[in-house]
Amino acid sequence: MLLLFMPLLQFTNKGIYCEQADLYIDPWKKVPKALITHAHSDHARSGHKSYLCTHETLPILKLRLGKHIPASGIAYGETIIVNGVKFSFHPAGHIIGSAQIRAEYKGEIWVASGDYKVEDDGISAAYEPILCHHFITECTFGLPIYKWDKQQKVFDQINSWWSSNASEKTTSIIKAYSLGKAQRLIHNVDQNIGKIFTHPAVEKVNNAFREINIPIAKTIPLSPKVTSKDLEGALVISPSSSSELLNNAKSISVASASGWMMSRKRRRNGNIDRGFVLSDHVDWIGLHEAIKASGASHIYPTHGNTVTFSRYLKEQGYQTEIVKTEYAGEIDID
Amino acid sequence: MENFTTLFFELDSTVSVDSKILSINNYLNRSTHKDSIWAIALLLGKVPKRTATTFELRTWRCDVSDTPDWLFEESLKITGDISETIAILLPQPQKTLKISLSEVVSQILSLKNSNEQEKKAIVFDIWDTLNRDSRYLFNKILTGSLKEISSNKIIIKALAKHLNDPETIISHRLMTPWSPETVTFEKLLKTPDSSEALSKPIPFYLARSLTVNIDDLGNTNDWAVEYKWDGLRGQLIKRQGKVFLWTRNEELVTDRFPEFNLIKKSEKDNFVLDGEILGWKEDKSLPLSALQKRFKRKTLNKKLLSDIPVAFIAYDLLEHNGKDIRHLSYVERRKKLGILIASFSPNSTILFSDEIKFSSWTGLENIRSNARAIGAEGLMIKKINSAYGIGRENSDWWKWKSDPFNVDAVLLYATRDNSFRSKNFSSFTFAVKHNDRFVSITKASIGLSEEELIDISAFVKKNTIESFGPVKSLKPELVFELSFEGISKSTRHKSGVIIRLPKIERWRKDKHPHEVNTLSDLITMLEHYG
Ligand SMILES: [Zn+2]
Ligand SMILES: [Zn+2]
Repeated sequence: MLLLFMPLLQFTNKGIYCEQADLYIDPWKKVPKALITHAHSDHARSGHKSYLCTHETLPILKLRLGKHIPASGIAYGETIIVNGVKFSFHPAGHIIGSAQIRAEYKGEIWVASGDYKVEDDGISAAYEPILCHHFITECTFGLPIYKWDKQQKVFDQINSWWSSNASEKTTSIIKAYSLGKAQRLIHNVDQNIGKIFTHPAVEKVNNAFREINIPIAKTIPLSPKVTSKDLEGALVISPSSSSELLNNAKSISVASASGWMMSRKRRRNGNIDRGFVLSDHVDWIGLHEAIKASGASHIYPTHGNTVTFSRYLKEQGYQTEIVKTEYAGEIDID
Repeated sequence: MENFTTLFFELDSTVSVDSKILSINNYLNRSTHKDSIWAIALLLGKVPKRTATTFELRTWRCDVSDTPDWLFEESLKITGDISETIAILLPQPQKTLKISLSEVVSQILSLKNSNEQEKKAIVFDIWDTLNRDSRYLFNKILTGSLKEISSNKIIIKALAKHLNDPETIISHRLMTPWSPETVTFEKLLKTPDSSEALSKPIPFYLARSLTVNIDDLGNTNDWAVEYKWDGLRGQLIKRQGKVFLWTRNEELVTDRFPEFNLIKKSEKDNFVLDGEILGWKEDKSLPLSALQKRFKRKTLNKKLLSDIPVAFIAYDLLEHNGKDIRHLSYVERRKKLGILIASFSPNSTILFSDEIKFSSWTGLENIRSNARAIGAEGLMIKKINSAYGIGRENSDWWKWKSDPFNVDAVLLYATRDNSFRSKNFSSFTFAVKHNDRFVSITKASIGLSEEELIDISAFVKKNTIESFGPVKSLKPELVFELSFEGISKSTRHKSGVIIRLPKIERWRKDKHPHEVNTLSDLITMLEHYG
């Protein structure tokens, strides 16, 4: 009789599947049991029968998918065992609450990274390398042109842009995703320069974090009551570029903060005044550090420049297999 | 070098003219003259002849960066720029010494006589000294691919502020052909030369648009009338045998119009003429778009000069043989002007702006309505006893423009200009009928009221066929009356015509899309007036 050896994690059309435990990681089709790395919409879909995520992700998951979804929280490092498979969640450094999911069965260890970055951004639990045999890694920015500066340097640029706008009573607007980038910006900008206003979508997330005692600095929600005087010299953090709430601002400067701003072409075509290179995804250098630190020999690139990145890894002597997922690719949230 | 890099990316990241001037000014304040002269040259697009090719850089890169070529190729697809890709993919610079812009450029120039090994060594050395953004600019300069970064006008303004000199003086000093390889900042910009006073333009006297009823001007005998030509207002100066041509925007454009340089030798008088620079061929004026072509080209070739010859239609004489005669009356100045121009050689490109004879204001209205047919955009009405004044606040000179052209067109596209600045659509593309289809003829954004914009935006939301980012293509339904000042032929536009200064006159809610004008209506206008 031929014994077919099944890998611990498989890549199916519903998502990353663990047959032994009968559960999925970040599935995009409805499944009975889902482990969720983080609450970005390409990873946390609605309609699953049960959800497990970190305690910090839980309020956001409920905010986005509904108060009454069958979801429960788990601490970083805590282990649960499902039919002999040990699962644990470890900091991914991507956004507040984001996790890599580690799975171990009979000595074989897999890590599904979800989205991650290796630099400590000061507000998300910092990325921890996890030793494993099989590493499923995102590679949104899997090209050597993507190399991030230290975050302090980028925030120096952002602060000087904001304060020079403020000296001319211009409102500084940063387009940023409401979950993740927004909190990172609020936490790291120089709050002495002026007031920080947020789009209601950002403020909802802020409040959800504040409720579980994650210290998000004071921000003022945009509302029709905010006057043009209030907005003079202030910083606005908003995901959408067309908010009626900003009609009051007299003079504005619009910036974008994202890894995509690395290319001059993107900066120039973005209909923005400034582009800051600030990403919540790992850069080219970080990818290699992370892969090396994982000790894995089998690498499964997903989420981004998979073909290119996988070819490069093969040349470097790794065994790779591209994982087709429905996580946002090129147009990713960053 | 870092100073210049900062300046470059500041200029790159703003569209505001004031911010650009401020950035250049800050740069000049913090830089040495040696660097500044190069910075100005580079901003203006005066880049030294390339001493290496992008292909060479790409090959040399492989010696110092371990990114395989296929991966370089993938990266290039994203950036679309070889200089940028190389700049990013090189390893971090190891050298800590600073190198100035002028030093970088002199290294680049020195490569001219080097063999490949020497070139490579110098390029590696600079790569190893500069940060990513500076490397990008270095690669661009080295390969001669840095484009003009800033307009003449902006640089003149910044320099005028920095040096505390009038813009006309700076304009003059930048005018003579110069190269940062041979001239110093002091020599070029801080040394007055004798011809500066010679080139100095006299402030233009400006006409107001006729707002009163034409009859209210009173006795027709008190007024003289000329055509208002559709060219560029200019001042042609010949002093001590030297010729200068200024535009109304105080730009010295002598070198764009070699035609007028000929008068240096042929005419013995000195003078300052006020008039119109006009494309002029076979005794007829060419449309303004032709003249603009002459302006846009960096270098003038024989073909361009013979395709689009220019004339200067002189309407006033301000200075004659060194004497300021602006205080004389219009009639007296014009008499002198007539005699002067008659003394020019028969093939002179300076022409006299003829006076139009008329006996009644009603008669003049008829002449005005035909002005377009001879290539003029209306009439100038000047008081015969008036002196040549300063500025615009006067009731001596009136411009009486021809009525604009009108068409009914259907709205085909709407664009949200900058999504942050307004929630409504503010820029629109209009189309006329051509066979069974609609063909777009122009974009227009002025003329609608705030309420109309809101209504149109609501229409856009419901009737969008396709979205291209901020641009929405629409069901052809709404009809508008457009007015415009000119029409000319265009090979770049699908319609074959280009419309000048379009304005949305009114929303024709009474009209159906099939009632709009046709392309052949526009072609007819073009044939008559283009
Ligand atoms: Zn994410
Ligand atoms: Zn993702």
